[in-house]
Amino acid sequence: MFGDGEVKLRSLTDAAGIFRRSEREQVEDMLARIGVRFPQMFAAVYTGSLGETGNLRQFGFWLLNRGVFEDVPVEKPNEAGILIVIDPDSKAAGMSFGYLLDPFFEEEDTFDCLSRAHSYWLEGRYAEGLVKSLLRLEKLLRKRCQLAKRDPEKYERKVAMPVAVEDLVKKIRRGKPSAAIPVEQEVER
Amino acid sequence: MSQMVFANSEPLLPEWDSAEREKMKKEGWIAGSILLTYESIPEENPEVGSPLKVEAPTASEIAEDSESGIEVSEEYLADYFAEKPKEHLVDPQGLLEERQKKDLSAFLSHHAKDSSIDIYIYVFGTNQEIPGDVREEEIVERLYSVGKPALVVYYYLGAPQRSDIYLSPIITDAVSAAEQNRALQSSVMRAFASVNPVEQLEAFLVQMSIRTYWMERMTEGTAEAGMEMIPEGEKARYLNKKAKASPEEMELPGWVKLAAASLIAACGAILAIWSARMCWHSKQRYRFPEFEVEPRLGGNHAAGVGAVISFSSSAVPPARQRDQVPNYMRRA
Repeated sequence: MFGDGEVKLRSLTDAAGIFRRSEREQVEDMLARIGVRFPQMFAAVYTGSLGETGNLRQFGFWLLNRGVFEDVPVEKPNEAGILIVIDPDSKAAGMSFGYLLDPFFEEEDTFDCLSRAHSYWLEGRYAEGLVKSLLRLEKLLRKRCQLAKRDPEKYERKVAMPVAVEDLVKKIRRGKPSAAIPVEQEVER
Repeated sequence: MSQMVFANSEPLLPEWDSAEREKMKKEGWIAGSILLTYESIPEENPEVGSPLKVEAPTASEIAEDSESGIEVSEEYLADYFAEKPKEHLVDPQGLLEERQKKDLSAFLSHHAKDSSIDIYIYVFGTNQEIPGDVREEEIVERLYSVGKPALVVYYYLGAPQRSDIYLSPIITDAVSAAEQNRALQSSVMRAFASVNPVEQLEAFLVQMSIRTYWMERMTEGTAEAGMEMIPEGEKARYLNKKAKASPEEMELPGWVKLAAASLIAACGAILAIWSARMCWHSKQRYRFPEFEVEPRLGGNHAAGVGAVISFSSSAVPPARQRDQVPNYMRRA
């Protein structure tokens, strides 16, 4: 729908032209701050009109996979990115994030961040709302990081790949059934 | 022509018959006698006998109107100015009665106990003048440079407006000339509330005692700084008195002081910990553990599709605007 090629852009791409110069600096500072405090990650913002047929979720997903962020260091891949897309024409905004945050971040968290900006965006104060949203994002990331360090297995289980059926059969034959097998055998008897 | 001349000439006034006129005069009144005459109209007699309403002279006007001053007799000068007086009230001429002197001295002594600035008052007669060879400023510098700070008043009994005040050199800089003038003026105003010279002096001293409290506030620190010249005993007595004069410190029991100190220390410690914590937080870096995540939706880098919110309506909360709906699907 949006194209196959790479899209070159910067971490703050104001295609809709909704930010003043001073506001741009304010938002860029905030994005840089997240990049410094979370050395693996980066945050980016895209503003632009998607038209009537555009779907913000799809566009955010596509842009984070296809985008090449010129001002982001190469050691920070898009997997470690968080992208906020604002469409001032349809008056909607969305948030997408890479695989690195998949275990730690949920849709509810992204809604929490975006809703902080809601009242500002209603009045057209895009930069202020964005800063509030990014501040909330920073706080959430900090908390999640601390929790993940304390109990990494909890988050690992969330994204663990499902065990293939063949592997399970091999284990049974080898005499090392998983914890679920004896229960099933007892039921059969 | 003759008709015109006749028209221009004034008609002749009727003439009195002399007998009839005398008769009317005797009866007391002749109608139109003022107007119908060739004599000039007599001037009205000015009102005689009604007293003029003039305000009585005030005490200050009486004092100002008095005769020019008489110098203080030489025999009293030594008693006035030779040395620092032992009493706060200096009246070698005996202008005040003994009882009055006693009352005023008691008041000034009481003031000296409570205040860090003593009041010394030199009493002179209403019309008296200090001889020209006696310089008041020099007297104050000579007698009041050492010891407890003092306010010296040259007071003229019955003429408070002629009073002068001087401060010890230690506190002169701290109390501005304007403040000194204000203190003097307000004391004079209070004195004029009465006509009796002794009552005037009492009112003057009461007000001056009040004003010295404000002077004390101004001189806090200054007076202590200038106490190098004061003998040790005097200095200790002054500082001790000053410490006692602070009512807050007198009333605070030990445990309250201890609690206050502990509270301040605790607040300081909390503030320091908070600052350190904030500093540490700002420098801290956060790294997430990296897990292998199965790619989804054909996305090489990302598939974490988060929330979408709409901000088209201020009437609906953000929680109910989570799904993006194009404008053309909304109801008008």
